[in-house]
Amino acid sequence: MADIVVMRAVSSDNQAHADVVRKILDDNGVFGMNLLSSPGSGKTTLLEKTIRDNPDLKFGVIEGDVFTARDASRIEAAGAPSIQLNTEGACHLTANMIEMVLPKFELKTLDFLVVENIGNLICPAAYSLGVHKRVVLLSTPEGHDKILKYPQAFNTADMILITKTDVADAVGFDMKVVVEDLKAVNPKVEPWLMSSVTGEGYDRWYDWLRSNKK
Amino acid sequence: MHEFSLATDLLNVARDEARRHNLVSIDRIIVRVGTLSGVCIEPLEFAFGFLREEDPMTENAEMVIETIQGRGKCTSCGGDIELEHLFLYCPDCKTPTVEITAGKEFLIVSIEGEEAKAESSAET
Repeated sequence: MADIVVMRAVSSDNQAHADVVRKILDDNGVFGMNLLSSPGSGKTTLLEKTIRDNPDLKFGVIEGDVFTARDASRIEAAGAPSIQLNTEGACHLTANMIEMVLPKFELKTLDFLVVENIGNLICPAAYSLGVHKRVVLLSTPEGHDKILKYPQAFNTADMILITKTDVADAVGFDMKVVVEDLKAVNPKVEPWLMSSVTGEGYDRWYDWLRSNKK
Repeated sequence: MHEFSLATDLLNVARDEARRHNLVSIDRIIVRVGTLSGVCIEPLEFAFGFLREEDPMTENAEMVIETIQGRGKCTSCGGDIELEHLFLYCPDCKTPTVEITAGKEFLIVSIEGEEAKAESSAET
């Protein structure tokens, strides 16, 4: 009988793939983002508008969904190459999946690689994908109480976008609650207000993207 | 519910370490789970019991979990705080300046198992 001291993180397997992804992105001068949110919070709409409004910026998009290629079709129609990953039941993407589809993109021609994760605020938060920033969306119809309900997702966010602000009043969304709860869960991140209908917040978002272009 | 994924990763890491250390079977895996790690222990145990049988190396493996209480230190007042959730607000000085010091762990501490028998040489 042997007793072996290991002291190794369970995430080390995924992290090894994430490190490979990061190196490939860096070697090709591509800035990577992981978009994480509930289903229907506006991830695909944010990307469609961003791609259409910035023809000089080159995006590649990995669309994660349980089923269908609907989102990849929307992204292609907006003018960017897109690969659809269907997990057929699984609730999140892993770094290994990203590593496997990276060769399908002409990375040298891209400025940004965006991974649209499975719509889910729990499981995707546990998996690093090797990209540079994790961007978490919360749409106003979901309710202002979600930060504390799903702290892992918001705690690990590098950026937080509050989307659909055009309907905030109609759904009784109270931004003060979000700001207050974020102080406790992720005090380093200030939430940005966005609406694809009125265009609120998009100039700031585009400036931020441009400042990260490699 | 991603505990099936986590249990798969956990078993892969344990088997990888066993092979590195020349073990032929694993009897016990000591795992440390922090209360702020986001890992649910009950579904993890369920998934582990199911997935260990996929490989003869781990089919009899038992998982022993050490739970680590979430703790934080307030960078404003210096207080040492017990954290139940990822709620980084200091209850003493009421400022959001708590840094987590423990509780995010999810790691394999050690594995126990049978070593491969030393190969006997044809010369002896």
